Amino acid sequence: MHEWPDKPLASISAGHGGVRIVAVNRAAEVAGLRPGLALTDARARVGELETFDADPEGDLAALKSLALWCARYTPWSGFDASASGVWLEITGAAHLFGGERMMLEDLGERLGVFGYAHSLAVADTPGAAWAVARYRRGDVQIVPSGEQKAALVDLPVAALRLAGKTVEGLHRLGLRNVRDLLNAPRAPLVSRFGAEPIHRLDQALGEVNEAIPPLRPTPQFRARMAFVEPIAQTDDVIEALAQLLGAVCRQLLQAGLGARRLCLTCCRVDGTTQERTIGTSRAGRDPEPLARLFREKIDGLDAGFGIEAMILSVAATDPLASEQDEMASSAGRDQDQALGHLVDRLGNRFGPERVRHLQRQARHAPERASRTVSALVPSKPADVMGDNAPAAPRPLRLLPWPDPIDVIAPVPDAPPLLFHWRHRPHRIIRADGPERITPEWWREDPELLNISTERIRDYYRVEDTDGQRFWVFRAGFYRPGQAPKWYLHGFFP
Amino acid sequence: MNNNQKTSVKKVNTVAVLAGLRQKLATLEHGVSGSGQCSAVPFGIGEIDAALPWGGLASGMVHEVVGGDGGHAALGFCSALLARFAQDRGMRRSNVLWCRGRNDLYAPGLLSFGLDQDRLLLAEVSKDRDILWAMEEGLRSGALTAVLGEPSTLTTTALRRLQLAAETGGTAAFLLRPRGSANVPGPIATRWQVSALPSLGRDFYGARPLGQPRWQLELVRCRNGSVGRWSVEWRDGRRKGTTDETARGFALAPDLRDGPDQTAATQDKNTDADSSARMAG
Repeated sequence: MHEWPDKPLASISAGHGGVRIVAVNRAAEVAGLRPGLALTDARARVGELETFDADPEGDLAALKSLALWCARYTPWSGFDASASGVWLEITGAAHLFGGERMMLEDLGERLGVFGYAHSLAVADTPGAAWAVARYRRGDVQIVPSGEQKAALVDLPVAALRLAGKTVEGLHRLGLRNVRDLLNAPRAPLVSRFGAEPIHRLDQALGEVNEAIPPLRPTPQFRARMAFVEPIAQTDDVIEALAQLLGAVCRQLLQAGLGARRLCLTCCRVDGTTQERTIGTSRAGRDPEPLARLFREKIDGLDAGFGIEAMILSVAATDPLASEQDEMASSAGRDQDQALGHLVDRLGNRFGPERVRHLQRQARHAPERASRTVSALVPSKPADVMGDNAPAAPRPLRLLPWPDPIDVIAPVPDAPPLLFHWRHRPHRIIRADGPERITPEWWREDPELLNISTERIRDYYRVEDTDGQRFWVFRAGFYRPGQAPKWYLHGFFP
Repeated sequence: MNNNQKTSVKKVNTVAVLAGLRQKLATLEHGVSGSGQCSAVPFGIGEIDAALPWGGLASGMVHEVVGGDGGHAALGFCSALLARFAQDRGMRRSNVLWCRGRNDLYAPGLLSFGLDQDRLLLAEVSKDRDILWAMEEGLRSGALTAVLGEPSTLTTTALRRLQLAAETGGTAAFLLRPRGSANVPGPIATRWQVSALPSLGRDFYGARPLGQPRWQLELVRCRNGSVGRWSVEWRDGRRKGTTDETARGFALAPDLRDGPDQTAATQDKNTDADSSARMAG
């Protein structure tokens, strides 16, 4: 990829019938080498040819990161892996850079600094831009609006993004350039080559609409800031971020929406990007708390040799009525908001799954009666019939899985007299029970089956000589000659 | 003559200045507002509230609870305290944060201590650094009435930071620590030692059912207050399958011989004799 102006250079890989050339630099191209040529042929033509192994995955990654970096020009960028190109949809974006030519010159200059050989073109249609960039000499080319035909007629048919076989077939018919194709009758062409050549031609001329496949969905709300001098200080980034947030929040206010997820893209001077994403538990468009969420993430930002542009985009939104901003005076709402901000801050630091709410559920199995849900996800109403406490006392701490214990208890159904848990004996002096908890036969619950095959449990509340209180249960019915299984399940304070 | 008058005037001034300084010192020490009153959540037991200079547990301060035995008594005590803070009407907020590494709290059990799961926010963090960070965030946020954390080690600096954060947000900070934790010097308002006591259930035709949870509370440190030792019961207000919210709360544990219904104030100073009597009975 890097330009070595003097020496011919080619990347190679094992291809059909031996090692073949994958890509060449300009010097090698001038010397007559083309991709696809066998390396032995190439060496015969150019003795001093330098070669290295092609790295298609690395190329693709570099291309993708370049396309992401191009977000500094427009939110809508994509890349063409087969032809090593990057698409930019610059409709409505060029004026930010002083027009199309200024924009392209700026882009070319930066690409030159990165060490990329490049060829840039602007046209009404992606097809025309593709053709001109690849088949007409010149660093920066602009096809005036509506003049695709004039720009294309003299180019070879390969400029229409046709498959190699199609190009060969057209050549055999004597159709060498676009003009030939335009003048040729369409029906026989379609019957011979399928719709491809005509479709590509129409796309390039703008007869058929073609959209650039975007690398990322284009955000509806977005703010961008480019710096005259690259910035690297955290304070500067925070300051710039505050302005971007202000701009985005104004857009959101007009749309009556609030942000649920925001993405900050920092374009570094070396042509790579750094991204930071924050999520919120409820829609918000107040810049200050959002900035606080970002501040945690910005500490780890690697500015490299400097950040030359920052783009803030809203990745997810929720409706947010406008009165919430103006009438935030009520204390209850203030509290709600403060709590929401706290949840967001905790969630963004530890991960959303670490900040939780307890929820009760109307389930028989004790381990199902309580669960935790992420506090960042808007919670559904709990699956509980009434709001009353359960009829019988329940422990404060419940083991996620009942722990087997050794128990001395009179048969068939009496509370334990003594049990061992973790090698410590507990002599029981008081006991309540049993409370029989039966499985929910109307639910298929494989996890319950795993805990014990005997699914009916008789729970006892027991207290040992030290005043420690436990929740233990005997699994299954009493069967003569068979030692009952006991488990410790929870702790009462 | 003149001289004499001057000194008397000076004397009066000294008294006023001293009072002013005391006030100032109190303000500096524990964020008491100019009025000299600090908002506090009472226990509901006269004896304990009287021992505390704030008439209850002060918000905007750091309280330490050290557990005994398996630590479940302290866990229950903390749940009850959080519930009292969450229900306190004076604060206009009602949420509490619990930073705990393990996810084993049981919602129905918390409810019997009056802690509604909708009022409780859990942060599942286990590293001390993260716990302290989360606690500070919660204390400063102004959205909570109380924050509970279970750090394994503490430093004086961490305690100072917590105190500062608690003062800023007007929120109470609770530290639940395992038995035998080192006594870290720092701005702690109260330090409690909590251990389980055998409950006082009444024997019923040979069966010995459990009574209400009974704990020994030891106030081993109290800034500007006195220390003390009480045995208390937690009444969950449960009676024949229904729950009476008003009957829920702390109560001094009644004397064994008088039966569980009489709430005679007993400062339980001879626990050993008490329990041996029960064993005999």
